[in-house]
Amino acid sequence: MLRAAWLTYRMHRFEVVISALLMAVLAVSVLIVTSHLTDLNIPDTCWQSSRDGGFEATGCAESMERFWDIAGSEAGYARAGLGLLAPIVGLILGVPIVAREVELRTTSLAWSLALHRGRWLLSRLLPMLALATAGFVILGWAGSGLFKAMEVGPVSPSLTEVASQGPTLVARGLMALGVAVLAGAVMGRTMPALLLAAIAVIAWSFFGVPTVQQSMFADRAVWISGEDGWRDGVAPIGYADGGDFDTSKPGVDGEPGARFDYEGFQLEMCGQPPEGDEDGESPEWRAWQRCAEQLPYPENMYWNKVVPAATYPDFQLMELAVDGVIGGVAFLLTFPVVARRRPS
Amino acid sequence: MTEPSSISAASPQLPPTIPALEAIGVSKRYRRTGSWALLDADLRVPEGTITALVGPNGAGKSTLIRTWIGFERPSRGRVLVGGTDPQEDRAGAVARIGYVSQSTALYRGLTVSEHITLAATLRPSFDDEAARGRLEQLAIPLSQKAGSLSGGQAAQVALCIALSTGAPILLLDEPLAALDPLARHEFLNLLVAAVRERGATALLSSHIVSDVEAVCDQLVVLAMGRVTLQAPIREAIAEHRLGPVGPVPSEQTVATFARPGGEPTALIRSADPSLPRPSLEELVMGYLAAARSSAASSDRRAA
Repeated sequence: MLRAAWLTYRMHRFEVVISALLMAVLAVSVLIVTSHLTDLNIPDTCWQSSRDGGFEATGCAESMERFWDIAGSEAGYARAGLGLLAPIVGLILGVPIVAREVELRTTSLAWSLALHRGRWLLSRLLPMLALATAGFVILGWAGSGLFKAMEVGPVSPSLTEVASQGPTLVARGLMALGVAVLAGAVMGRTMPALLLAAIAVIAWSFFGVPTVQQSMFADRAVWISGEDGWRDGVAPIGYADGGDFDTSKPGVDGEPGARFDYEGFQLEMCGQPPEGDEDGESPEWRAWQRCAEQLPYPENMYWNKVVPAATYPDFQLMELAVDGVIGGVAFLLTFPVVARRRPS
Repeated sequence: MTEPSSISAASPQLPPTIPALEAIGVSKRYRRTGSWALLDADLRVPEGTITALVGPNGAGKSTLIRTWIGFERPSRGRVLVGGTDPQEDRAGAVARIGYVSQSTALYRGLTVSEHITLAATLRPSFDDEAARGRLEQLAIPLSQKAGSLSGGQAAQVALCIALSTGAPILLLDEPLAALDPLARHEFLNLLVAAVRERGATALLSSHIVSDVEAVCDQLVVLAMGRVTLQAPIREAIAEHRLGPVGPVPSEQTVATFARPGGEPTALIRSADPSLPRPSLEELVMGYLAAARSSAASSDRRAA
């Protein structure tokens, strides 16, 4: 088994080296970024003061500025990398397993020697799966650390990044690998199979997942007053129904069914903003702005139907389950495709 | 390295018992092109023989060989490998076969030694030591990458792998096509020595008759998807003669064809000692001409 694994790595050494290198570089980068965030040691009082409106006076300014700098740059790149790399590595490792052999006609040699093509496929698949799984687990672990470091503050988990950390990252990567192996077996050519698998994975990631997430929203969404926001621990991770006002609730005028006109409210309370000052530099403009900003939020000003952060594990579970099913079915379908395939 | 001159003449034919390879009314149509590669091919390859499967390009030789190894599924009829149908028991059939494909495609990035290791991981019966021994005898460096081997060396590596499977049947699909004369000689030497040593059965396809004449004892001529001649080579030559082309072909006339000098000649089923015996090449040419003529008549009738 070890000899077969070694030979598989030798046959696909370019993909193996590239994938291992990319995963190692990203994992190390994520760990470094995470350490930058955790080294700031921002106390909870700073986050609290930030929520209460302004942290300048609390002595937290420097460290929090630094936090947001990192969150907006290195951590942002790292999060994007985590979301992208696992499926990319899945595609790179998966496609050539069967396609390259068919393309280069080495299947004639391999399938004339192997008594069972299923076992041949396993001998190629398992080493790649082992490498990919190990890499994805490390990336997932590093990603979880980064997200944990970022969620100390008012950073909500993002549904678009549901597969950028932990087991969901592993599942998304293995799903891509399964789809890639199947595409390679069906197409029998590396580049067309890579294109097909990439389209399938992109379609699922950018259209399939959001669609399933939206279908889950209805059961999990709750109405919260805009003024509550995430102050009451209902950090919204998504908005349901595309609307932001519960027309069944009474508005600021006490009448139900009307969307609250925030701009009108500002005009009513602070008057017209001064004209002819696009840059907002004049004392009149600043005075108007102060007035508008300090307006007390009226009760029932607006309501949002939001999906609270507490339901995030449900979405992770969905991602795990659906990716697992897609990847598993793709792996299983590869066996009959290989069994029926004619070597070139 | 084995001396090229040591190719032995074909050994006496072994009594046929269960055919090592059998094709029963095999037809194969490729869906993509819609063309028939094989048409009702019937064939029995006796155990312990070296059989030449000859025919022009596109005659269906590769297709027939690939049905035995399970790479192609016959559209009609069936093939048997030592009595086993590869469509019903692929593992059972493949276990009896050592196969060298037309392209002798090796893994370019793997060394020769790694090919041996690979074969050992795929085929439980593979004799790792024997393979390495054979390759050392042929002076093929085990540490050399397959991508840097010459065509002849690659073919020899492929043959060594097939031989070392210990399989009783060897299917060799035009392995000589891309080899120079010296490499062809060395390949055939290796094949004959190994087959005779083990009493194995070998089927060697080629479209170059002179390649196989010295080493094969059975002849199968395949033309336009049909088996037009199947016989031991000595018997086939003994039972045919070359004669002048008459105005009306007799029933014994297989076909008329032009000899290399352009002289028209008839191949006749006859043992008449007054007429010259055909060479193997002339025998094959006669049967190929007969197949072509028969196909032309069918076309005319169809038209």
